[in-house]
Amino acid sequence: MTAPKKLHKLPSFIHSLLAVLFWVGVWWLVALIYQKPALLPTPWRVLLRLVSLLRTGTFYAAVGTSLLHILIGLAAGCTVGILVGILVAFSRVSDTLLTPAFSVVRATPVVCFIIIAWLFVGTRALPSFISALMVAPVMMTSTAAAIRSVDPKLVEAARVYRLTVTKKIRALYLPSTLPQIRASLVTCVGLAWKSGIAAEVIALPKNSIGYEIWYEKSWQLDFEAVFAWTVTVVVFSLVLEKLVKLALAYRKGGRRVSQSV
Amino acid sequence: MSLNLYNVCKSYGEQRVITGFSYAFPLSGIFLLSGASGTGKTTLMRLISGLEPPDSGTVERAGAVSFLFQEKRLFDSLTALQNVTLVAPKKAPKEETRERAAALLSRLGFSSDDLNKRGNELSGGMQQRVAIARALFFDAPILLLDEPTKELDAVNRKVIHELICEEAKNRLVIMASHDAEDANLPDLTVISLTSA
Repeated sequence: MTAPKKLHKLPSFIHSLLAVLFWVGVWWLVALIYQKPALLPTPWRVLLRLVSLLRTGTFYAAVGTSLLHILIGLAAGCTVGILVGILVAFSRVSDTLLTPAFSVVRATPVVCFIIIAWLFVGTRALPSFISALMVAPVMMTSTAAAIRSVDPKLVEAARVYRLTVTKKIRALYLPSTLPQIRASLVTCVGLAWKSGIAAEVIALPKNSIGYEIWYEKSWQLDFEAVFAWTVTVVVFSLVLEKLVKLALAYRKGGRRVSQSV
Repeated sequence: MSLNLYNVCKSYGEQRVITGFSYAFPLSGIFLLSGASGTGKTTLMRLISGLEPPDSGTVERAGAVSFLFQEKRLFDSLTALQNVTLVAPKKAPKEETRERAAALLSRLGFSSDDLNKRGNELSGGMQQRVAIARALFFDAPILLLDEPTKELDAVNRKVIHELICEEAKNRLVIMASHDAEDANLPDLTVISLTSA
């Protein structure tokens, strides 16, 4: 069954808005049917609670702290992932040793790492550590795959013409790997954010979103606030991903990188 | 002696491509490898360039090798000019390098606008000419040209032939070609290859 023709002519953001409104409507309906507003508040109640949170300093302190934790973790995870990816792509020994280890990290539920790592890194560093741990394998895999996908004929040409390492990086590897790394960065932003918040809910660093979620649920039994903080987490995840996409689009199209070789 | 091959053999799996090839090349001159497809012209060039080792026999060469591959193998993210200047020596003055490369490309029919087009924005014939310019620009005593005049019109073929003859005064040029006109170059030595 196809959508009416007029629907196709609407801008795409209207499509997204209609989809959001549809699911908000489903949420509202379920809340009304469930009839336990203390546990499942309606979207309207959650919105009112969010507005009240926005009027407090606690909200901005928590968002700022969580953002800082997670951006540190994202930067560290991307750096480690890219460096290990380069190592693994060029060294068979490194590949044999490191790839299985990173595969185990990817396969292990994040909550297991949170509980184990908490013992070693402490409460304050845990969100950054977990964000980095979740991001690094993704970056490693995409970097290694991108390097391995470089045309072997061009690698031969670089060898014949005795290109220096710098020239090989600029002419051969960067153009091939950057698009893939950029695409992975968008995925990693959301991954770092969600896993970092999960770590905060367990380790409870003060003035963080995770702490506030736990506090509202365990001490205040304020599920409207829990839902409001959850909406905040989702909105920031989408906003961060969008910002990264916009930044990458600007860099690609708005400014040519000087390539003097 | 610039290049010496002695009793060189090469097989790929069960397929024997080169059997007992021997030749002592001088420091300069033009040599044409001729033979039907599958007689090992490109394989021989790959052995000379060091991209592959022979199964047996020896390849002795004095210095680097510049290689024009059958496929153009340009770096698409770089401009036509950058693809040529890429192979300049590390310590070569940049401005002088750019001027020499631009002059070479200009001789091959490139306008100043064309110099700044990226590899994947050029036509097949222009890509071939950039690849040739790059091979000529690389400072090596041995120059290998695999199908140099492929995809070129008569005017550009003539320019390429002139350039090859000029290069052959100072270095060893070894060509592989199916183009009958390539076989008419002056002072050309033909080496016929047959199936192994």
